[in-house]
Amino acid sequence: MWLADVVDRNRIRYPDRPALRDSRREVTWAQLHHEVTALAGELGQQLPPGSRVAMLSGNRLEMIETYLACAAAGMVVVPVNPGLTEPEIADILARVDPALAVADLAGRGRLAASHPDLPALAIEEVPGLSAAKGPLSSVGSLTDPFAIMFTSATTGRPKGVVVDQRSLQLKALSWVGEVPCGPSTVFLNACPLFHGSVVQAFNYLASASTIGVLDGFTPRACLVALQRWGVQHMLAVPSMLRLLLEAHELATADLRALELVIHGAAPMPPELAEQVRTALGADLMTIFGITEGGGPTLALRDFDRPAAPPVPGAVCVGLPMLGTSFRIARADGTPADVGEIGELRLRGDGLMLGYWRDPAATAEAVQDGWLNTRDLGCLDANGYIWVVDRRNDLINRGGQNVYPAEIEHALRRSPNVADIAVVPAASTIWGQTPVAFIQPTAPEAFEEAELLALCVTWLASYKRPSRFVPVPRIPRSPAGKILRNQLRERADALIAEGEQP
Amino acid sequence: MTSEISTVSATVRALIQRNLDTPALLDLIADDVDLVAAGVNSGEMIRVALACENYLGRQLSDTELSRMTSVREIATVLGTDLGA
Repeated sequence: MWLADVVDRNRIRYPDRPALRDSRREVTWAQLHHEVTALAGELGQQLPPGSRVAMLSGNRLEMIETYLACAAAGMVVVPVNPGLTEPEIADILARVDPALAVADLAGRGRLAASHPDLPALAIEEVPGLSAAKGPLSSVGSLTDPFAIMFTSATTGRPKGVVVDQRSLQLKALSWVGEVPCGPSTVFLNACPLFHGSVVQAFNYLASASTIGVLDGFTPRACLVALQRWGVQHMLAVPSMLRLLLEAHELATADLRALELVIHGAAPMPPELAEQVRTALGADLMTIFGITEGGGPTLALRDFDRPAAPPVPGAVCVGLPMLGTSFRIARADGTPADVGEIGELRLRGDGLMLGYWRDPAATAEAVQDGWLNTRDLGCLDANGYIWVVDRRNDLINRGGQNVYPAEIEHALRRSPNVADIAVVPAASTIWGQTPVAFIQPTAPEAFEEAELLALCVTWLASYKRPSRFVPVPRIPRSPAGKILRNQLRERADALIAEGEQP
Repeated sequence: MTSEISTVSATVRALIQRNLDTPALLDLIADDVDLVAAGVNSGEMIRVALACENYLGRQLSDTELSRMTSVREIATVLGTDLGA
């Protein structure tokens, strides 16, 4: 099976070459094989195949080992964002019903308090597990569920995206066709490993490259890693790159090894792209990824030559990666003409298996094999794909997605809120930031501190609105639909006036 | 010493607030409370650290950065540098 084969093959061919690095240690392919075999054996002894294994940990290389071990043992790994609040984590765990958790010290502490009956394996102890010698055996098939990645949803309740190893296989093979990489390539994943972007690490592992893992992104930690590990390719979101450019240490950093900065998850402003090219001395590569699409699906290189933007503000996302088909679809599903705006749809073996135990939502997202990305796009005369706008109200704050409904749901817990609408506003730092318009039950009932306290209790910190704006009435159409575009314009104006964020 | 820290703390609070998406959040956070546990996100913490470096006109050491978990700890780091 795919991931077990990757580990086995590279263990034989490159036993002493580094496979993984983080701030604590380096793991060779031989060690990686040993530790993954040991953890897979441990899981296989304790659990039947198909069991869900929750992973609650800050970034560390053993998270990648846990993904690999779950794949080999036929378990379904459920990475959980440690930045989520207790109610958010409890909701995820209630839905996937894990048989075991693999967690770091902080994660185990939280689980012991909230889920005392859930057995937890210490992720720090993975290196000490003992394993039998021999090839890494694998259980199940390529199309069995491998992971459930939770992502924000229009309904206000995150959905679990179920992916299989066939998707990872396709992504890795198509990556090789896109970017030359191999055993001498060092790749830095600056993003959190609970996120769907972890697919990039598996792409590079398939080519026997070395993966660097940051404990957490800070400009200094990133610059230290880039230099110390001689990183050639790195993955980051635009907000990270903007913060990197502000770091004092950048002036003296030796980044001669760096060749390629891969960015995605949010649009890259052209001026920032130019600053990054100049300051880091590397090529840029845009990837358009979507968790439901299995990760990166479209790619744009510096040498690509798209036509002029079809509409102001459109973002070119390049060409479909090998193995992915695309369609710009009209409302009736037929292909749009060049320059005609429609829904961006994707098809291929990399798509999710579906949403976890939600066939209705799956059927809505994937029709006749085509995934509707909910993005509006168009095709230019040179054959390149452009994203014009989000078709729905997704807020992308620094590369992390959150739907307004999730925030609105939390704030409706206040007895002082009569109506509410959350919209994205443009932010120079984060790309977008949520702004909450509040219709209080009475003018004097509006209390920002109360709303903030609700956010702290119920929402991960990146979902917190940057502004709470009291309004006499939430504007709605005669049919009762919130006039979000009207509020977006007002939110943009408010943020522009106040500069920050 | 307590009054010196308090003086610096007012400066620090203003500095932190300028780098929060929602400045009013800091009004809910006492000096000794862990900022991340109280809802400040990692991106905001990075911006606070960069602002502290700009304020001091020098890079913070790794030890100083790791200490900067609460208003009081940040005040101590900055206060020490200011000779408070």
